[in-house]
Amino acid sequence: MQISFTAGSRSAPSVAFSEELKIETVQAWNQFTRDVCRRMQPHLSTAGYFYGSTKLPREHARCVTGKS
Amino acid sequence: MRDGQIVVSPIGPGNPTRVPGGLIHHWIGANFLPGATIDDIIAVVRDYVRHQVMYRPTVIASNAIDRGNGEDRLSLLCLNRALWSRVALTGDYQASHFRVDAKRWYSISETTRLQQIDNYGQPDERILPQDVGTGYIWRLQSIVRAQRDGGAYVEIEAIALSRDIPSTLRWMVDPIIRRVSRNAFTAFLRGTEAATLSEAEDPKNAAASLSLR
Repeated sequence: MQISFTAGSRSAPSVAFSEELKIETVQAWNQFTRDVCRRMQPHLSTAGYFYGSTKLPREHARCVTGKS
Repeated sequence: MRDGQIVVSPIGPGNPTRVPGGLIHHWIGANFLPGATIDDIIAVVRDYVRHQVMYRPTVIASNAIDRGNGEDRLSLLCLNRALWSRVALTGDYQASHFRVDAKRWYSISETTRLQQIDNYGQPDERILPQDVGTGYIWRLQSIVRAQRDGGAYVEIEAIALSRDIPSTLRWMVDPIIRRVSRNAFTAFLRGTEAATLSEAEDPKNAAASLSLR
């Protein structure tokens, strides 16, 4: 990891880093966002993705099950 | 909120959440728009060309890539003046919209591409490959909800993935992150409020913007 510091403004000091996003970080992110989507719809059925009596749109189902 | 107050708060204890190699920031904000309808809010949120006006100075360019039936793709160029004055982020987003009933609507949007631009606006400006850079924001997902109730409540929940901050620097960086997050939410909600109330008063405002596409 390369770390460098740059001078900030009077209101906000700035710190600059440079690195590459890791695969395990992306995996943790995908899990976190899936959990948020799942919690958003407590009526979800894992079999069919139902919102109340209405079938969830395909896009929301994708949000719950993972990225396309 | 019915008096015009904006509520902004981090979600859950221990926010941001530490994950391997990163931090997940999870915030929510809401306000109430008197006289607004769900259709007014949908018109504003989906008017992507106007985002560069509504959410200035953070959003400095915006465009609709594709507007489908319930699913859109858009692009945004954002400049963060608070932390790194010469760093911009260019990205594509996918937004899905869901009408639950006559009084409730929500959308989920997420980044599908995000790239850092170093030295933005300078002669030595350069765009970095995806997933390389400061990691100020690696990924972003937001959920906008609207509910009609003698006006309309607008709520935005945003989740952002950033690089990890070394513990020796967190005392300095954490307050900045919190301030930036709170300010970004307030600016988003104020921008949405102004555009929605303008839309409610005169839908031609949106029509004029739509004609730009």
